[in-house]
Amino acid sequence: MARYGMTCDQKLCVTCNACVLACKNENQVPEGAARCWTVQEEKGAFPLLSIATRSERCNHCENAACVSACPTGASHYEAGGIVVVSADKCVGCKACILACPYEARYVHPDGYVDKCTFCLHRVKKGLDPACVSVCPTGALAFGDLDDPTSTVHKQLQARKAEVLKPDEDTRPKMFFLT
Amino acid sequence: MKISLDAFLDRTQLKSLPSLFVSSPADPPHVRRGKRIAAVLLVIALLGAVGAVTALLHGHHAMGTTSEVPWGVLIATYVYFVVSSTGLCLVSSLGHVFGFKVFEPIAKKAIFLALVTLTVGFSVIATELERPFLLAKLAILTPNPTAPIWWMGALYALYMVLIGAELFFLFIEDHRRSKIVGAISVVAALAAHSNLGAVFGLSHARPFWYGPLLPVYFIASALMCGAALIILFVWLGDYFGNDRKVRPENEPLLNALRQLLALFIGIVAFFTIWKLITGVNGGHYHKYEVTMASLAGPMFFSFWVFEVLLGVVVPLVILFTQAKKSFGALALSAALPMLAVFVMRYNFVLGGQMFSLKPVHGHLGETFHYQPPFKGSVEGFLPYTPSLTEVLIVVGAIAAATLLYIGGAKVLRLNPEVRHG
Repeated sequence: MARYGMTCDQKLCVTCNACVLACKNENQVPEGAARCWTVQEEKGAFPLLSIATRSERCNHCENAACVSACPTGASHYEAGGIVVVSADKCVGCKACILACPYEARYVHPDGYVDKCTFCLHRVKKGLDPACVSVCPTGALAFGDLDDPTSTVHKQLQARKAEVLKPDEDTRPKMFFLT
Repeated sequence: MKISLDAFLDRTQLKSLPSLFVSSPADPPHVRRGKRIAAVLLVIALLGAVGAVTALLHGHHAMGTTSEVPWGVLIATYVYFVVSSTGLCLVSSLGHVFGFKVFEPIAKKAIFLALVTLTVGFSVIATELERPFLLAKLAILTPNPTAPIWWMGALYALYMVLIGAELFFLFIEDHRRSKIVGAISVVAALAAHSNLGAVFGLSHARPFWYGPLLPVYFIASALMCGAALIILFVWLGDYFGNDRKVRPENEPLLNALRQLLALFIGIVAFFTIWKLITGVNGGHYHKYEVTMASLAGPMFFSFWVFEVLLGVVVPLVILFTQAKKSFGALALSAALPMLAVFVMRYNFVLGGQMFSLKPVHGHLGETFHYQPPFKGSVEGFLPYTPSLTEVLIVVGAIAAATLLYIGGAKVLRLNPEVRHG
């Protein structure tokens, strides 16, 4: 069984927002909402000032707070550990939105909660998620974390990486290379 | 044993239901005023029904909530109603379950009002959900036992059945069974309501809510609401039904409730004080910000004026002074916390959402610049204003609960001295 994850190389990401647009287009994300977004984080103070740039989305946590909070099982783990919302089972209680420490979810105008699926429909065909496929600097990579031949596995072996809010004990599968 | 409908219902009163709203020249002035208020409540309740239909048809499009502030005033209202229901069940159980004679006369009225507030509370949350009927179906077909919301539905449904049965046994005067079912109801009420605290208290991502305090705090505030509501309905019943004088047989009850209410307000104030101290101490992100928003920020007015002054200080002062001499003052000291608790719920539900979880400027010396579409969450507070639909549902629900109780008190045999057969 695959264990899908993604990496974002903070040295290569220039926050051009191509990932955001590709995602919106691929997944018909409604106006005012986003499954994917970019961040510029300033660290320190002059003269020791640095900036981290990255592309963020649902972290597809292995211990997802949203899945625990969902009363109907609409938020669930798909094959490969991808966290998905079944729109037809979502009753719109929005407990998952409040449970998610990353604010990765939004209310779809059709009355269900929606978020990044790692482009599950593309992954099933053997394709990369839309954001990864359009990244002009190659900052994003996607693959099976347990497969020693995959890019993400090799990157995480060779480079230092961080996850967002590790103290939440959610065990994210979105890694940011430093 | 044959059970007649007359055990529950005074059929002769059914026809005179409209007289609740239409005054006759024979009525004394305070009764006429009361009937006018009831008529206004009826209009408000009907407007609330319009709001409820709008919400069911249009879902979140009719709400002021957003993806960043997904729980609005309707969640606060739902909590307000079920807190009241739990409190009524717990406080009234002192009489018919735990055997304190002074509380026995109010058993039926209190449990009936508990059923009314629970039903209205459920109706409010049904309008808040995008697909309430699907939830009812999936909660049975594909339950998720790790979700506090699933337990909330399950435990409150159980609680509803139990207090329904309790009321039934009280009506048919089967005091042995009403006591047994009443005792189980108390356990169910404690479980359901502390679990409601856990719906917020288990949100690890939101430090303002997270922690073991909330389930206990919810029970304490329920007791306060229960005592306050019983004082209110006993006093109002005598005000309109006994020419503005408290019936002598209700005096020991109200005196006991006066002392209990003071105790419960004190307990809630105790929790509030420690919540503030732990909120400020340590500067934990989110918890600190929301606490400061109450103490000296955008929630300043609603916190200090409503939660502290009208919710704690003024009622306690009245309870220890005027309320000993005047039952009218006692009723005021019960009405003020009921008003304050609503504001408290609102501040509590919205407080947990007023800051984005993405760290904002100033936190740990880092500056985050989130690019669109998260414009609203760059700095400061996330905006939320209740929509007209939400406001209509809130005021309509309060009016409907009041009317259901008044109507029930008129046609149902809720008075202990009325014997059937």
